[in-house]
Amino acid sequence: MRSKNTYLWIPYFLLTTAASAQTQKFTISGTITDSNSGETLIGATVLVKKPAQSGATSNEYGFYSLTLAEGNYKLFIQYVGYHTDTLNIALTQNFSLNIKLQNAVAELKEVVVTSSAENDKITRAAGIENVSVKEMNKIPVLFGERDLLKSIQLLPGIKSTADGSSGFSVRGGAIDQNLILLDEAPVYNASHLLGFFSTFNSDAIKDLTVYKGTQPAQYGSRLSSAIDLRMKDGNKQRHEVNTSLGLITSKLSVEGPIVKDRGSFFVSARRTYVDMYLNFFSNESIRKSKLYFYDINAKANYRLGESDVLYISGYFGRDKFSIFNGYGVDWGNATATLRWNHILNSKWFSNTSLIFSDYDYLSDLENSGNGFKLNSHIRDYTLKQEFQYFPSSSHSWHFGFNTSYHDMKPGEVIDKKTSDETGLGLQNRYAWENAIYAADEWKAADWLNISAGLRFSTFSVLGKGDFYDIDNDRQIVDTLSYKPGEIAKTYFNPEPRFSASFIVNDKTSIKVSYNRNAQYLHLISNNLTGNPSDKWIPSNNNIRPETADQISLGYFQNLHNDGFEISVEGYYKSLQNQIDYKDGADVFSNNAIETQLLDGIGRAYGIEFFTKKRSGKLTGWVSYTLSRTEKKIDGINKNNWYVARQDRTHDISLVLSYDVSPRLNIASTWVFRTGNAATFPSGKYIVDQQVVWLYTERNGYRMPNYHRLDIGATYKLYNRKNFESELSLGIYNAYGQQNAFSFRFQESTQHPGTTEIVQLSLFRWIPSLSLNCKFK
Amino acid sequence: MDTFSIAQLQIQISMSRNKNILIAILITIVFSSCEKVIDYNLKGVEPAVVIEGAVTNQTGPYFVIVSNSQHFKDSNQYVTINNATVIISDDVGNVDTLSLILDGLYQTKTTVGVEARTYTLSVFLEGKIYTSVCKMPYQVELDTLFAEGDPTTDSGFALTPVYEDPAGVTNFYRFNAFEGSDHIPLIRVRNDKSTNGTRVRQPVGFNNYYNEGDSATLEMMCIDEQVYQYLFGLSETINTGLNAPASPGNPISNITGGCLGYFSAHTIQKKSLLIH
Repeated sequence: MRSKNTYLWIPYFLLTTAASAQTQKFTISGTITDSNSGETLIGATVLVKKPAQSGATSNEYGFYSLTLAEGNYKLFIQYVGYHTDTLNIALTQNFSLNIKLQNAVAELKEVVVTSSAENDKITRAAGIENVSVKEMNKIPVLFGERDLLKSIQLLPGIKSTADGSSGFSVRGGAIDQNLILLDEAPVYNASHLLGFFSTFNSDAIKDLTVYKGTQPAQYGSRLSSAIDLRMKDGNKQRHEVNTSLGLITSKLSVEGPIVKDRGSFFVSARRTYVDMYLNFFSNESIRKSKLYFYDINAKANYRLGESDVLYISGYFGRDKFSIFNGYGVDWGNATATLRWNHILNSKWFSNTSLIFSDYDYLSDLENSGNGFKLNSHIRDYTLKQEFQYFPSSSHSWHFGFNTSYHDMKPGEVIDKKTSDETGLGLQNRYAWENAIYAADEWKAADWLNISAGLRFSTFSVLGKGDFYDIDNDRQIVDTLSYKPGEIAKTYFNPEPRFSASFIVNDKTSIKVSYNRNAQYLHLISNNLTGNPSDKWIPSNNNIRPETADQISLGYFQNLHNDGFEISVEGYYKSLQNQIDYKDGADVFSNNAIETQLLDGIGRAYGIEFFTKKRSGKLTGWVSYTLSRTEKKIDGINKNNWYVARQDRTHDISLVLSYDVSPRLNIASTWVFRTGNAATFPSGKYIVDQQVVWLYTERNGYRMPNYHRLDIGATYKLYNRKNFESELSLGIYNAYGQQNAFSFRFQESTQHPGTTEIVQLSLFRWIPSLSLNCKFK
Repeated sequence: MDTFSIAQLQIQISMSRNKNILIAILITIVFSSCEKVIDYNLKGVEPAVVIEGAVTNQTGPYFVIVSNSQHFKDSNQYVTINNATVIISDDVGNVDTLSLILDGLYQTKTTVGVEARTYTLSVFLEGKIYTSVCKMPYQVELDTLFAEGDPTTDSGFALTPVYEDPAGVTNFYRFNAFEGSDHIPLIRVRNDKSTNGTRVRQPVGFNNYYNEGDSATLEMMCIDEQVYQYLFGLSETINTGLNAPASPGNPISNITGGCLGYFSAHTIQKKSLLIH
């Protein structure tokens, strides 16, 4: 299979580079930054309109490279929210041109949303949502906590899985099929406090791009999406302090230059003090409980010379929850990335990254001096190398490799009396994941943009550890022991990626895409919201890697002088090697978890409608997704197709933002969604003198429909040279809809001898208030 | 269950109560959530036959209950079946046809429960046959029973049986506990995966039911593997609410023919003590 792909590759390469003309070509290259803060701008465009439309886009580090024939040109440099810069140049040799764009956000209505921004949506590949952090910050959310991961759930194809939870499903995928990267480091549990808050402090984030299954070849490891978050670098000109004081959480960010114009740093911290409110309760159990989280984002960068920049970024977050004399959980993520950008010449850019990511959790039973603590972690060590090559204005090549070592501890049992590892827990697992890729973005013609790439990934599961041979009844027949570093099993997967945009005119385009993705780590979860005790397990000799093939077709249109945007995109995804627990599985199993799992196939399909109004006092969008996700696993639901838990037929989001005056903005969100699929009893019987529920089909029922309105307002109090402040108010679930969080089937206490269903609904009319200040 | 599972189960039990407390805390703080009984339309299902029977090493008679499942909205009573023919036979040639003594309750006449003997249950009902085969394990002696508690904490007393698990055999156990004369409605089963051939001294986990001065009785039963799997699955099915497994299923009965319930041949020993 490998050789077949290589042969196909060569003709493509020849075809695309054959068109080099005879005239001398020169390259302009450099970095595009914000003139105020020095922050690099990702995805800014440098356009040339005459003699022919041509251009380049800045990469994740603000670097661009544009090759043109010798001559005189007028350059237009554009980026959403910034004034377009125009420059006249005479191109007679290669030269470096760094560009600083002026921020235009201060003059709200006057911002002419440049044609490049929409052009971007029209021309670029399918299934991508590029999220404006500033826009998301206006959306009212639960407890007033701006939450990027919850805000993206208002976009088509991205759905939340449970009220308040940060777990989400992209195009019908499971919650573990999303690759969440923070400055290239994977984050395994992107939520705080059992899912009610997300791990990301939006103050620290500069850019957020979501790929809905259409991720280019640089991204791998997860089937349904890649969420690429880039942290702010820090103001290179002067120091700035931002604070936010809220009812439940407070944040502080400090940024500034290390050496003016050469290097800067950014640090932000956040803590919740929900536990402070617990002191007001008379119940001792509640009063002495602990419930808090905190996180810190830190980044520093330094320009070593003309062509080299060094970055170091890190995240550290911790959650602690314990009931006095009861159960306690302590978990957190930590990531660190060290990066070196090197500009080899005007056409070649390189980035080398060393990445560390750690997710660990500890669960404990506090009331007994004896007993056990359960400790688990997943740790990744990664080296990534990427080259970007811009041979001409019609090609942008990305190629590189990455190699990761996974160190997984699914559950270690520690004896509390002696603090020793008892050796009774689950075995540690080790794996080595590699990938090599090449991708090109090719402006094949004025009316055709093609994005094509191939990623080739491998996964080897290693000793030290025991691996099992199981028979058809999933019983262990043999145990094989491997020494440290010995390879037990290796998998290979070619992952082609393809997307084409047919530009009908500068306002309309049609996009198609085909992607194949492979995933080697799986989250075994026993419920929908995601729990710290969910286990990440690697593929092994019995658990094969999951793969997905996705195709999509979409239509995009800008209307009314680009003030409106509409799009329709349909997708179909076919999934292989999907696992699920068998009925009545022993969840706290032994090391051979595969004896409790069954595997089969899945399919997800849907259509996403989206309309957005971009300009004027009133802006906002409506998104509607109609979809279905199903699985078919032998041994479950009598071997028939059954609806997956995260299936949601209708999902509607309406977001509006209205600038009442230059100081006051009002925003609101209304969501409506079909309830999750669930397995409920259809009857009951008595065994052992107890009432036992009788289940028929898996996921044959639905939770009730969910809908909710949130309203928020932001008022600018002060706007002076050195100080700015604003007040944010909000109300979550403004009409107090009792949305079902869970059902509990139980014997009735009111009417003994009968059974009843009790619905728990959580948040109704939650107010929030926060004061945000900026010191410059 | 092995020690790791016990640790997980300890945490899981506490978690199910305590996750509810966490939610209660969160919601109380924001004074705005509620629980209410709702009327949800659950689809009906054809009544399924439920058979529950056991043969023990105590003196007989032994019993088999035959009933039907019911709709969720019905009141919780056995929907009894009185027209079944229930036969228990063993591997030494005895065949016993049980007689109906009460609604749905069938009693043996001549069956004797003996260790290592294999018993077959056959139920004939409306043209269908339901059968189960179960071999009674050898009894593992319950040496002592004691209760350990920490009077400073509020965590009750840990009722702990002590026994010697035989090496070379896979053993499964079930524990039934009584507080006074009240049966504690919890299913506790164990395997010997991590305790094979050792002297086992582990609490059975009914802690919260016992206070100073209570009289506690523990029944220790030696069951076979299929009954162990059934009871384990049954305990999972009864567990619902916030901590319910997302994909619950019906426990796998050890009776063939397409019915619910189980048939067990097991040994029983009882010990009592007073908590102090």
